[in-house]
Amino acid sequence: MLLARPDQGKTTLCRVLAGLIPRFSGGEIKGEVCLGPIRPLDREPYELIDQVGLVFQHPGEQLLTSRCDSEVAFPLESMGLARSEIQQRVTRSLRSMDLERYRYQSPKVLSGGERKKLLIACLLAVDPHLWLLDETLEELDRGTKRQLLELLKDRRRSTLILSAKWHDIFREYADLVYLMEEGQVRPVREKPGTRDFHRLLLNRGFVLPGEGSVPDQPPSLARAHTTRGSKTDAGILLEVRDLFFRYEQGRAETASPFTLSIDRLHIAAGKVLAIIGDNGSGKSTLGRLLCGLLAPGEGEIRIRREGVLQRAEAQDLNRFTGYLFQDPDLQIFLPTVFEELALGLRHLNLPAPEINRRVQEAVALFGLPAGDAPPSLMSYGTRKQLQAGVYYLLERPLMIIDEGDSGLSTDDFSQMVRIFRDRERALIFITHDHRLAGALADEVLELKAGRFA
Amino acid sequence: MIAQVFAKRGASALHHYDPRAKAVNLLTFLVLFFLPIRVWHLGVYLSVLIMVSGIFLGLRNTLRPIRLILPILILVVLLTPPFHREGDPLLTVRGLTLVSVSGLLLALRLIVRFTGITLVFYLFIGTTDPDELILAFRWFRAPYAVSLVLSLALGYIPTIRALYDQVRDAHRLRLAAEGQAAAVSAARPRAGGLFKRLREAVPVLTSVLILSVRRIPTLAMALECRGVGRKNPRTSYHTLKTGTAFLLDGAIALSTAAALITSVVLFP
Amino acid sequence: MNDKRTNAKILGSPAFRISSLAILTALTAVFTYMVRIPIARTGGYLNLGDVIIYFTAFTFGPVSALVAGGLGTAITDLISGYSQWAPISLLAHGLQGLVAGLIASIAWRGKPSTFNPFWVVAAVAGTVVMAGGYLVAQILMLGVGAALFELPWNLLQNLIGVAGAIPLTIAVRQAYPPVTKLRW
Repeated sequence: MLLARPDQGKTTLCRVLAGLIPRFSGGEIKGEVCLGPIRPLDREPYELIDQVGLVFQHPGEQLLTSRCDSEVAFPLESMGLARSEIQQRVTRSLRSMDLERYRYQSPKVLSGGERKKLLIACLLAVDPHLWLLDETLEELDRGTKRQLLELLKDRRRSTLILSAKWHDIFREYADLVYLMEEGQVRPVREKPGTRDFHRLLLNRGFVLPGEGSVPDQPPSLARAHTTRGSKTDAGILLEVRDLFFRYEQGRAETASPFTLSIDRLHIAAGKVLAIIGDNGSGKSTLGRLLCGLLAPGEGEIRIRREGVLQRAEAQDLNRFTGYLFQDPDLQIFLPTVFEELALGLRHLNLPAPEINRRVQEAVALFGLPAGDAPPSLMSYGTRKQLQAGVYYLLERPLMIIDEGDSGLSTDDFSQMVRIFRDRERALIFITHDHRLAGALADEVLELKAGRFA
Repeated sequence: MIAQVFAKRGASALHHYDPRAKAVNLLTFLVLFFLPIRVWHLGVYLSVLIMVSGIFLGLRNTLRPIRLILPILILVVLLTPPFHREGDPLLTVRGLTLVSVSGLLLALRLIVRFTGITLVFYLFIGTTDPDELILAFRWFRAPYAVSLVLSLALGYIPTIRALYDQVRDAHRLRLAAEGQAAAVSAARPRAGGLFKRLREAVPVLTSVLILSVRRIPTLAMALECRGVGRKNPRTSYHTLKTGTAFLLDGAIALSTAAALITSVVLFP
Repeated sequence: MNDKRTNAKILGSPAFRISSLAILTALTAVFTYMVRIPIARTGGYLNLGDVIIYFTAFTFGPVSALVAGGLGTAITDLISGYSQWAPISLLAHGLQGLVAGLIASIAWRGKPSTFNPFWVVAAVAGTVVMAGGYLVAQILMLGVGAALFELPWNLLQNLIGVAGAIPLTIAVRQAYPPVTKLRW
């Protein structure tokens, strides 16, 4: 097992082992990689597929065909196997992963967890000696995790599981555990499952089941905190009443389209609200309604303008809210960090020295590199910080952060929440992580199938 | 995605008819409609196509492609005669021939030809699964690389479409401000605004292109992880029809071709 | 010991080329079909497909533009119910991309992220090929009158194409410099 928090080099390591890096990335490499007698760095990756198999972190990047059985058959076709052999292996693999019913369907209709199962089925059909699983076990339910781990116990297979979280179930299966930080790998000597082991992980900022995970704030960044529970109308920035929304088309697996129904929701200035829920519960839909990207079918959203709560149309919400999408690259298009940060300020017709000052403030606050760096070449975490910096300078009354904690370390995300916590503005963040929500927010609301639980 | 234009998948015999055979039929009709035979005979062939389409795909599906080309057909009727005013005049104004018989006949020929070609393509594409179409290309000796480009591109179209929508949303939200026009949105048909809207579109297009281009090495890695690039010959899990089924469809295709050729020879 | 600096090797690999062509083709198809700017009078649409074709020609070269332009527009025709035009789009836009790509790859001393005057020449040549190709095909299919009617729209289409492609190419190169290394 290899444990590493986001953005520390897990995926790069996998790809080196599979011979994909530096082949596709360029750059310098020193040293050797030996998988038994095979040296991936000296061979082409396609020659190695029966020795090394890799499951990408994002299934969407690895799916190639329009049918599940074609997907499993694809590598077998590449290997030149006879059709009858391919048919047998495809059937066996699909059945092992309980995907037979999706045989003729497109991989696109599968959920995230099912897609990962499909990719595992692809590997199963080829059955290489070494399996590299990049965060594959996330999004799988416990039963499937166990099934997979049992499968991998086979003596003929060696497996490297890379994960950002430690799950209890690993204790029974992990023979060796490594820790990776900033590209450095070191073995973990503490025995998995022991108190020492857990303490080590906690110190390194890992999330553990059933334990608090947010470190104490350093005193210099103490929150400027308003008192909890002030519910007077005077403080409310945004209010939702009798909101109802329905998607036009239903999703593939469900008979009826998804609906969202919120009786009442409000958020006051200076408050941080967390919205949690599973995939498909409607978190992102609600986020998009609140910032005006979607229009409600019924009900209204009111925002505070000129001191009074007024009904808001989509365009009003566009201007009132800042929305940090999960993907920070959606809005990057300028050559330097400076220009990205300055764009919104330029439209306000501020004088150049003032723009400069504010940009430098954002750079310092979010730990961004110097103004000349091209944003698209920065690391993922830094791009997310840039996205936050852009919106910080736009000074919208309501900020919504959508799954900001994925791709950012807990420290960085906590810091981001702290920065946006402001006496006059409000912050909503959407997340999977219950503990994080509880630790950072003033109030936590849970969405289940489009309704507050 | 092509399926959206299709009649219900697998519903008719035409859907099961082998695409290679359909290709033969397509070619035959294409050549037919360009031959210098009488317009009325072309009309007969067109009627045959309409009947086939009506029987196998239903009336509504048959009218769909015709409705799409109606504006073009009207255009042809209006604009062809002015350019072909030789021969017997039909409409004269102060001694100047505006419309002649041959002009009108040519317009008719063009309409029949274009409708026929439209229908024949519609019958081909509308009843063939994209994967089968690509398999047919390979059978006709198209290189595997081209077929893979095609199937991957078809798969990525919805992805890029979704990406474009998200980027547009993200840019719109970011640039929303008091008194400032929102970034690229839908229609406001003003001619002068055309280039202005193009300029506004550049930031969105830039983000979309950067995001798309970044996926090229990732997709390439995914392909190599699945063995694309190996020296050994590639086998195929899917096939088109073989054996008697294939021969049957081939026979249908060739006999219809023969029948059409015979009719041309007998009734020029 | 493995001490290497590698980059150019992958440009020749089949997987890379297939991947590059597939994504560029999909981009062309999406922007030809999905992104439309309506024209007031006739109720028809102008599309941004030519912007992507010229961008591909300027950034990725003639082969990429040939495939992306030809297949991308042909796919759009097949999807949108105009499959009878697919072979013609394949040829006309394919050659448009090829010719524009060939001219645009003539060596130019300026930095990659600045304006290259050969782009304009490339676009003119591309326009001639594309509009000419459609003109010939449409004369055969629709007669001289209708073909001439369509001609100005095709020319406008190309004008939009190059007017968009030039700033777009520069913007992408400045914001994402590694794009110049993806050319083959």
